[in-house]
Amino acid sequence: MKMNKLVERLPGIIIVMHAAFLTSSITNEWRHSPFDAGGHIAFAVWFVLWLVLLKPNVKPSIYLSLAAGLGLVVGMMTDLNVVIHAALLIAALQFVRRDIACLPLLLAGIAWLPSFGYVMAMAGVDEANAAAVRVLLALLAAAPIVMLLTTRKVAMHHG
Amino acid sequence: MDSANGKVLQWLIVLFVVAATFAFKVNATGQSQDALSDIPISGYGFDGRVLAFSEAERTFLGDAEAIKHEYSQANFRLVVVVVDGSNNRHAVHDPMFCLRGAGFEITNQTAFPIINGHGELISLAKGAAKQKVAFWFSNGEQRYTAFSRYLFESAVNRLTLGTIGTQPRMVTVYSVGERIPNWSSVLDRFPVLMDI
Repeated sequence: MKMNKLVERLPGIIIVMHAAFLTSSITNEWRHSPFDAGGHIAFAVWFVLWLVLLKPNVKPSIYLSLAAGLGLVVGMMTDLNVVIHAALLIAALQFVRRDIACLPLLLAGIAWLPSFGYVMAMAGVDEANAAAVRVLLALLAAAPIVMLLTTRKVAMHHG
Repeated sequence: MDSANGKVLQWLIVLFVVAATFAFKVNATGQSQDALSDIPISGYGFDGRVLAFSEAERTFLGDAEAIKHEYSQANFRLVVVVVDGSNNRHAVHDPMFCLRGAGFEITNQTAFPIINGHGELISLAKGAAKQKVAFWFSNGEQRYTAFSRYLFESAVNRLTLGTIGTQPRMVTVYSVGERIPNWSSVLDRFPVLMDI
């Protein structure tokens, strides 16, 4: 039974892992680009939120799988990292219950994107504040998820 | 979609995605214009020399083709850096972003007209040091400064496997002489730039 479930989820898991592999060079940007500083902390926040929202009984969506796969191919063809990073965010959503909590999870995901550093620079954010803005955005995104999960827990307890 | 068909389709997606992305990782090359090595070092009315890239610059450029030439004419001296991102698109960044990331403060920026388009002249300050840098992107026909247009043209060229357009190049020019050139006439003074 457990084996069957794993086989059913395996294509989705491979897409997530492949997207993570293609995204792995992001650590260089977090280390060396001043506007990408703090990206690793924002990533950690996003990853923890994703782990918290992971549902073993959610069936991976073929449409999300297709969208993530398409994003990876187009991202590699065009050599645009932002498309590959977005594909990882979409691929990760496959294992999360598709509800309102996906929106803050995506927002936390945006906080670790190097392209968000570009947006900050163009918006006039000082490079010294870039890391703080990233972490703040990730934490702001975490707040509604924590509230949502707490409300659900309380409702389950009373229900 | 029934469950069996859905499973088969998911595995087909996985196989296609993994194969296609590895194929593009190995051969991620766009259609470039003529080789940068064809850009003359000296010509009628101007002299030049090849400058070497530093180790850090080489690392940043990776497989991208690039040249750094110093041109002089009378008492004007210009350093011209041209980067062709065909073999490494990530070697071409928005100069406005890069320069800020390198610790420069952009004190002023103005567009100036050049043949078939326009360039951007940026005034930079880093402590007491001041510098002016001009840049533009060239697709062989037009010159422009919008990085979004560069990304779009580069992406379309790669997506169509080089059928549509070419890989634009980034041209950065800065003065190292005593006299600051009139940037609008920079292409007239150094016609070599017109071929890029």
